[in-house]
Amino acid sequence: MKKKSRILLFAIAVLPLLFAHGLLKAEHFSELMPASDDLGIVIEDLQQIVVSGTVTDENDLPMPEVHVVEKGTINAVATDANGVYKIRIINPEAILQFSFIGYKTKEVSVSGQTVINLRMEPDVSVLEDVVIVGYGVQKKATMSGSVSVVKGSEIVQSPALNISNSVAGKIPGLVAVGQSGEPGQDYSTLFIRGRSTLNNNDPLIVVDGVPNRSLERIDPSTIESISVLKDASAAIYGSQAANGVILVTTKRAAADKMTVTANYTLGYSRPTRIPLLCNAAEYATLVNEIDYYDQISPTYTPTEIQKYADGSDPWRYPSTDWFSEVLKPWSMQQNSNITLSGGSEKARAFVAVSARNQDGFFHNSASKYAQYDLRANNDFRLSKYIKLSVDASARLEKRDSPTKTSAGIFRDLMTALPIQIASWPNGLPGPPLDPTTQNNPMVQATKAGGVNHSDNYVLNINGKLKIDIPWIEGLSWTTAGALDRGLFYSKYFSKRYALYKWDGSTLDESGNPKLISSQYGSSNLLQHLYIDKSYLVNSILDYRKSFSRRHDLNLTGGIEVIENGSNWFTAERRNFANNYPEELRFGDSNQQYADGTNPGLNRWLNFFGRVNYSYENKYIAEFVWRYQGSSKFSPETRWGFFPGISLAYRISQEDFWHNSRIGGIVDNMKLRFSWGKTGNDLIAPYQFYSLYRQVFYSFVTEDQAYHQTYSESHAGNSRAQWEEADQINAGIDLAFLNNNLTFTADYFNNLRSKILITRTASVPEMTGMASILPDVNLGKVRNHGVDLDLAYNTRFSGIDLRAGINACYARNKVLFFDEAQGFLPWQQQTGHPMKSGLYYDAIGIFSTAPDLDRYPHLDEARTGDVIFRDVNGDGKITGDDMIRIYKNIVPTFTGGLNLTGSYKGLELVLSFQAQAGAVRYVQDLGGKGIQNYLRSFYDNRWTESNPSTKYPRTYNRNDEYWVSSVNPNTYWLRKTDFLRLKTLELGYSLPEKLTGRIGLQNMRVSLGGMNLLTWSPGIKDYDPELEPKGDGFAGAGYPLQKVVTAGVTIQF
Amino acid sequence: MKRIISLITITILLVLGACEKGFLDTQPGDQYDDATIWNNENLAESFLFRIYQGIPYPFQWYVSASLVDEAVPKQNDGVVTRVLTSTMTPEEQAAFADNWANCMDNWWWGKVYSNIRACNLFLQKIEKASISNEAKREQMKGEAHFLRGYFYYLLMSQYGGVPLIDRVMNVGEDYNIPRNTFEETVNFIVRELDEAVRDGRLSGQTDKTRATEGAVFALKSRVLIRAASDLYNNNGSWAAGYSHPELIAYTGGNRNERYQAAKDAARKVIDMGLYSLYNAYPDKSENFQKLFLEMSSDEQIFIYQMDKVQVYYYGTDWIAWVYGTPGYGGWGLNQVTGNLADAFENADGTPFNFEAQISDPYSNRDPRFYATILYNGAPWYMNSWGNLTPYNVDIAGVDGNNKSTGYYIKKFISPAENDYYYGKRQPQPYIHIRYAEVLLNYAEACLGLGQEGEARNAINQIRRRAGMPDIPDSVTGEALLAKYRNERRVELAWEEHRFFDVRRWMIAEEAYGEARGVHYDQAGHAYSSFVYETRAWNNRAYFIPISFSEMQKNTALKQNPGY
Repeated sequence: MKKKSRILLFAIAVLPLLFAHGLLKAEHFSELMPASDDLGIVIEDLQQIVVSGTVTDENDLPMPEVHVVEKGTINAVATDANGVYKIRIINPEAILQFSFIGYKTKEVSVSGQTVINLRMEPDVSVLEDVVIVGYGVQKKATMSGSVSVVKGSEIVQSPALNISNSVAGKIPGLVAVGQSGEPGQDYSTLFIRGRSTLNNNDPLIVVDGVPNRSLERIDPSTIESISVLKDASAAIYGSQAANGVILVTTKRAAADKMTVTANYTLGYSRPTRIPLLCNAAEYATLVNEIDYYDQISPTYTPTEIQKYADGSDPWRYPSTDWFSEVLKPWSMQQNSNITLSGGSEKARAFVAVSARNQDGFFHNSASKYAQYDLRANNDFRLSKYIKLSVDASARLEKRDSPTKTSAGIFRDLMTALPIQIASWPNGLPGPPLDPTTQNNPMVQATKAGGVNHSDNYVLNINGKLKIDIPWIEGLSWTTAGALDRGLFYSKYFSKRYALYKWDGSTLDESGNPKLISSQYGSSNLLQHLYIDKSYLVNSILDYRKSFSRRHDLNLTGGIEVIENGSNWFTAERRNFANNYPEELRFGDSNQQYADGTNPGLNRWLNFFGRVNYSYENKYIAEFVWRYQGSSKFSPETRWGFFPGISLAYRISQEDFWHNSRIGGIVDNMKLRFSWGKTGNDLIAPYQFYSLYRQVFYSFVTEDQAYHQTYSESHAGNSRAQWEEADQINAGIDLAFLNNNLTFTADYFNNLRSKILITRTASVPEMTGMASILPDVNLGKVRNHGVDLDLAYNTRFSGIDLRAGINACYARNKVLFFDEAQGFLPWQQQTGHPMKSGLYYDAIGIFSTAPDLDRYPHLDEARTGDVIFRDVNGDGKITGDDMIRIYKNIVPTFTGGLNLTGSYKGLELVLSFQAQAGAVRYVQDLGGKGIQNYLRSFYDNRWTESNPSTKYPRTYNRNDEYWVSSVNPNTYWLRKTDFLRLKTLELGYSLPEKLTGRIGLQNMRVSLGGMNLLTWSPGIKDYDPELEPKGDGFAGAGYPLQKVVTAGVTIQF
Repeated sequence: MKRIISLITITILLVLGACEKGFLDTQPGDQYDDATIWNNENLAESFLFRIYQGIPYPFQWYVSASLVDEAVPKQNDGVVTRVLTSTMTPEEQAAFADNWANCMDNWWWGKVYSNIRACNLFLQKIEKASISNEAKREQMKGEAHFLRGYFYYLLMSQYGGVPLIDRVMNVGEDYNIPRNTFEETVNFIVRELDEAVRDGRLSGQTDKTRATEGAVFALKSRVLIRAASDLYNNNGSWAAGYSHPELIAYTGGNRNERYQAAKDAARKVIDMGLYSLYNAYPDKSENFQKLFLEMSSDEQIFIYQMDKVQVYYYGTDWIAWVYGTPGYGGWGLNQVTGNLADAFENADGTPFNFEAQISDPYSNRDPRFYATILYNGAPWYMNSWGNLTPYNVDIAGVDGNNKSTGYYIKKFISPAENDYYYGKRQPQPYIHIRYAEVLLNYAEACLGLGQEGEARNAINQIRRRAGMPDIPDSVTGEALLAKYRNERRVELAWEEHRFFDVRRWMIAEEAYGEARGVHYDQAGHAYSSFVYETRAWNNRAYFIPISFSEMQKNTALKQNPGY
């Protein structure tokens, strides 16, 4: 990333600039339309005044179909094809309201005028009025489904480099759960309204109309909006809609002069939380306690423990804080982008380039991430009737990670003992943690152990041709095509690394300890290439028409074809004699391996449509449908029909409402209801086949011939199909205080049936089917709850204040599940939340000897051990005493609080995220010679002199029954409730006077941060949000990031 | 207008063009479907090969010798402890659960049954599969029967009688299938083995990695001698009050007939004349060491060859690497017990006595001792990145701060070839069944029938090959039985027999006592014995429990006694 790539970056940044500039120059700016003649006043009736005029757009072109309303009445007209309107009004003091989708609503008081010409301004925050929905847009006011929106401007406030980490707490019902903070691997899993299925709960992501693109790595500065379809309004996406749909729309240019915006943000990150572990003396004390319980002589003498404590002999008696040895205090990240936007009515372009990079937490980290983006969204008006858009986005994601996974390094940091040396006092790396693993995280977190490097290229191209059919007013035909390519190329090169051992006594000539160096690890190169490709073609007829200004009808129908597929191959050589060059040629040709395959093509053939009707914007009905065929299923089950119906009633539009007292308080009230049937096809394809998989290793016959082997991998189920969802939603929208206070609440009840279940719970292993069981559409789960959104805007003495609270409470219950025949009533999954665990109920500690007589216990139990409840009361503790709990790792409550205050150029944004109702199994496996213990355990543990009733005695890994992985028990369950300051941004826009002097339109500086504060009473040693990856080992997994940033944005 | 019409036409063509007929019929790209496998002779055979891979192999993170008094597991996180202290429960399957570190994972109920399903599926499909010649089809059927018998023998050894599933089961069937009796299970295995060789199906098969007639008869002798043992022939009297003794023992019949059947099966192998005890080197110790380092020999009956390309460190590499002495580059994760070391007699045939021979415990011992165990002072090699330098094992040195029994494994390791860091790998196969075992099975059957001379003769063949003096005719009765058992113990050490032998002979109480090691005090040149760990025996551990979850899924199952 040295000089060369900097030049490249510069080129990437400047070229599109030139391109866009040329585009603008070449363009013939449309000539201004001659102003319409004054139409004059016509007095037809003494009581009525006719006001007329022409409405033009921002380019002074006439605007047809603009709604002109006499405010507070139902008296409304629309402009004609020439933008001309004529309205009769009763009250000469009336206010006329001009509105059009995508434009700011304007109000003009008539005050005796009879000609009012108006220039409409496009609404920059288009989303105030329209919402992107499946295959179209809708006016927010007349939406009948449950759809929530977050704007791009809110997403850029977060310094997260991955959008899935930025949306947490922003949208009611959109749950984001952090999975890792590792550069390039950081992401959150997203759920809409909690989880509804035992299988994949991922919502469908649609970017600019193209499904199955990824949301995560899109450059946030190019995002216009994100819409979340939460109910049956998603049914138009058929068998992929049941988990909800997230629609991402990227920015497009307005026909306006070119604006260039440049931003640079510098950030520093560190882990949100690192567990506090014992020091050497504390650890040695615990080991001696284990010895005491095992009735053997103590491992450490008091003198040794003293030496560990006082640090007098760091060569022989170190006390290592592994986390601080391996992690640096702060790691840098940078983000810069330039966007250009502008053009004429005939050609407009939005171009964005960005570059960002991020360093890992380790000293000399092998973990790094860099990303470069280019997006160009172009719109052309080819003729009066034909519009063409061509969008292209290209992205390069470069990832570096240690050859030992980061999760594994954090696991080593947990297991490493404080009495072990990370690096010797003379700076050389210490010995391996143990002879079997040969690990030393100190070295393996750096490039000394090699690097796993990857380049991921993502190319998304889509084009759209829209033809307004000239013969039929309101009819248009849009055809879109998309072509996506992904190319993932990785190079995993592991190197041998030197570690230093000391026998504890030998000294060299100068009297210093004599360290012996040995080589560890191996030197291998593995190259991998993965290509995915997909295409989409759709063609949509759209008819929009108002009849008698009262009936608004919108009909949409289309056909769509989608295909996606991928293939990969790898090549490997081992035993490199040298660490350079890192090329296959230099490996041992006797040890080379290659592999590759593809999972098969997925194809969909879709027919879909929408009928939307509203009467006086008051009664609204919508019907969406999709008839879909999918290659994932057998010919007999692959086709399905998915309908969705929604109804809305804007009671506030009724005359009686206006005249009533409540009408004076409540500006808007809309009641909504929807029902729909959708599907979830995020399941393995080809479930209907009986399949055979090649086994990794060969069978070698006596003649030394190698034979590939195949085993049955899946028993076919020809009836396998998608999961079905019945979704009901009932909602209310309210607005008060001149629409400054809005409130939305939705109740949802989703019944997911035909959930594919592998019947491992009921099919005995004796059938031999344990690992090849086909999935069967059997499971049934209900997920219901409410989501709420409250927003308040106010302005007083120059201060703008916006506050938003959103919350979602979702609870799921398994209605049918595959249960073992012999499951006792308290062990069944049915009736409990999905994936709730089966545990022994830990009800305390055998604090004193009499407790042992008081409770039934296992033979091996002693004082200081955990008491398991004898659930069936048979006086014994057996597997029958395990109980199913009513919680799982999915929170029932999630929410956010977003506050924005601005005064003159100063702006403060605070965004909080909260969750409650989930538990996580966090087992800290301390052990003698195996793993360190948490300090919080050390401080509180049971001992004979401190007969705690809450904390158990010192344990040795799996030796105690209550630590053993086969006896999961509630002692290790922790509540993950938390409240977190997710995002903070303090910005200041310099006064225009000042910026104008240096030729800038605008200049803004900001300070910000992410995950700055966290409050989680139930879980203190680990981050409450992070779902540990890797092997689920407590403390393993790369922690989430706490980030502080400073940024500057200029616009010219 | 014309432009619009032509654009619309192009659009229509584009959309129509995208969806050809059969558009939704795509094929999996990474797996074969049913028809492909069974219409291709090579693929059908490769399915059979996969079943062979399900036969247990004793070396993993834990060696199966560490589950009994042959070895200690040095890194013991509770998995093995449950077995060594007889505290396994239906909830806690420990070393017998599916676990990568586990040498016993192929002994695990679920895995064995999945291999049985593969046999059932193969036998069902092979009938109609396209196979070029009928002899090949018959041979492969014979192999599948052998394999099915093998897997049921694994279950019988651990659980006693088990549900005998001989067809492909499907989803939705009634799974409440009770266990068959012990006797039915043994008879089923025997029938499978008879079926394997019926009509000379396997007569053309000589590949020792696959079923041969010799392998079939040898396995039969193993199964039958086990079935004739004490454990299964006392009506389950050790499990007082257990209401289903038929699941764990014979409840009738004639024990002599069982011994006779076992003897006949072993006799059949002997009479084939194909196999003999390996005897290529005059130095008896060297000879015994080389027995396991030969690619092929007449002593091998059924073997397993490692895939050295895909499975990087495995087989004997693995043994050297994971169990080898620290100086040799190994981690000594499983170490030979003093108990096993002391079982090797003196060269003159007298029992070894540690206390009496404490000053010089390693001179003049059974030649097999020197081929099996690395002890203090044993000549061996240092391995530094593939460079071998001769040195003598120094247990005080390799001991360090780490606890060690003072004995490491030598059997199976080839220092000349073994260089596990740089690609030079030991190619030798692991021997599942060898001729010496058949002779021992034969001897045991003769002892059961009271034919002591014949038994002594078989044992002496093995002793002579080992360079040990004959057991004199004066040794009879209990003394001869003890001699036989010790012979089997040292000859077949670490070959996955002892675990079952101590159970079926019902001498487990003694075997699960103390695991001993030896200390060497360099300054005083003095050896001392110490207790490495204390183990415990409970009679219920004669059989392992059926897992709690399996019992819940199949409510017709009856648990083994004591659980």
